[in-house]
Amino acid sequence: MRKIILFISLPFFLTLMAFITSVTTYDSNYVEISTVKSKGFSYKLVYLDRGASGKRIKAKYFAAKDPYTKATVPERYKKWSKYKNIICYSSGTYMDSYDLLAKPVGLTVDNGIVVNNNLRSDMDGLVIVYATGGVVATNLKDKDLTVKGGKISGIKLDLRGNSYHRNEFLKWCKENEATVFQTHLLVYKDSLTISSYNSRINPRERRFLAVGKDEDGNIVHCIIHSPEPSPLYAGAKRVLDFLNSFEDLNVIFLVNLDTGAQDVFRFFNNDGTVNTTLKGQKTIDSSVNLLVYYYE
Amino acid sequence: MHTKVSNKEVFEINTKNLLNTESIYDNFPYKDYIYKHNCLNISNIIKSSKQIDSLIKNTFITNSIVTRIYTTELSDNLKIKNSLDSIYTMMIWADTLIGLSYNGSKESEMLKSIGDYWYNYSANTIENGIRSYPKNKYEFRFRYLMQKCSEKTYFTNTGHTNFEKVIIYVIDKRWRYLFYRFWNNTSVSFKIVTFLSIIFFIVLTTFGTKYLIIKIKHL
Repeated sequence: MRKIILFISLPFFLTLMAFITSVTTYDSNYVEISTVKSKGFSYKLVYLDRGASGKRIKAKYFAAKDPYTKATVPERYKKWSKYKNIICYSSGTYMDSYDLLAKPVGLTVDNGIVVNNNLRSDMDGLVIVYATGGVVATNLKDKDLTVKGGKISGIKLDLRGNSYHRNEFLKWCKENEATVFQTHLLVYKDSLTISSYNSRINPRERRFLAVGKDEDGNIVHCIIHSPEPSPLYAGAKRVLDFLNSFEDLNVIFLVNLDTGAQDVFRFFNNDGTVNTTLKGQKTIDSSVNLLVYYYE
Repeated sequence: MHTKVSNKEVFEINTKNLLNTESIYDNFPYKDYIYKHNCLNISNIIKSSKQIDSLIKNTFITNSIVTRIYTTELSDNLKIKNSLDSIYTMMIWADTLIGLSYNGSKESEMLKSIGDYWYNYSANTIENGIRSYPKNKYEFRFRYLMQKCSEKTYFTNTGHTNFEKVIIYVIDKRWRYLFYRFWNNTSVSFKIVTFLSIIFFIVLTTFGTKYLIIKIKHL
């Protein structure tokens, strides 16, 4: 009798084991983490081929704590990430402090809700994270931000020069549940937008978010960590050169991710385990903002 | 300054350009308009808006033009003193405009936009003032104005001095990061001085303790 039960249950057991071992959180053909050495400098590179994945790789940005429920960024992340296939998360842009009362620096909208209205004059990059998971950036100096949908669809908006345009844009963000943050734009349309005279000169380890097109025209997102301390301009220049030459990437934009007091980073393998190639110094519990990549 | 606004007065300036709605935003005679009207009179904003709209018949462009007149063009053409008193007056003016915008009229969005611009302007000016003299952030008047900006969600980033950052990292127990910053961002001479100071402190503590123990034993 035992033998019969064993015989019957064996295929079920094997199928179950095969299912468990085959469960992966994302397709590793489109996601890669590696340590690369180029021209004497080492880089830790997270390569996310959003285009080739059929836009299944998506971004989500938590700009600050929830203005209504007062839930902190780690709390919001933990609630949101249930049943999500997380690829990686990283601390995002600048905050005015590093405690739970921290406010993002520059114009910031979280899921359509304005967190900080202050459009700064010294940061030219405005990054928009769509509810659909796409990320775009605009150079505020160019006065040519266009969005799709709503009454401002296709109109060139000058957010810095015209506050009516800005308010119309914020209304659009609310309607489309968009997330927006302002930051230093280091590279735009494959050219450097900063110089050694107008950027921070202190040598620091650097982490950047780059979005570009590969040789097949696919949209690729990259998080590049450069451990060797370098001034912002030198670091951005070196990374642009690396992405252009080594990765054959046409960089649409490159922005700075904060590695200072809020160095949070984790990359997960496609079996859900933590990859130790690149790890931030702080845990997610101390995060005050968070850029998350996930697979859906 | 004129207080009376008439269609003739506004559109005498450059009628040809105004006929083309695509270029109207760029070609509008902003400077002439500001010099010919009392732009600080709030009732003139609504009058200007109605008159321009009656000719352009495009609310988006009208609002864009009027907002530009009373914000960037006005700040470029008026010599604004960036004293704290001026900023406070500016905020009161902006509060009035934002308050008026709640009446739900056709001009509401535009009035709010103008008010918002001056709040943004004030927040940036305060921030620059603090960046030039970091001690200002502890001054009552600065703190009051920063708080007023915060109420309208215009948060200023006053930053931290290097000393304040060190204190934050010590409280946060980020020893590894502190050592990393010390190692990478300080000169060789600073490292030597710090190293010698530590040695001196260790030697002083060791011999001091030894001396104290001997003294206690001889008591």
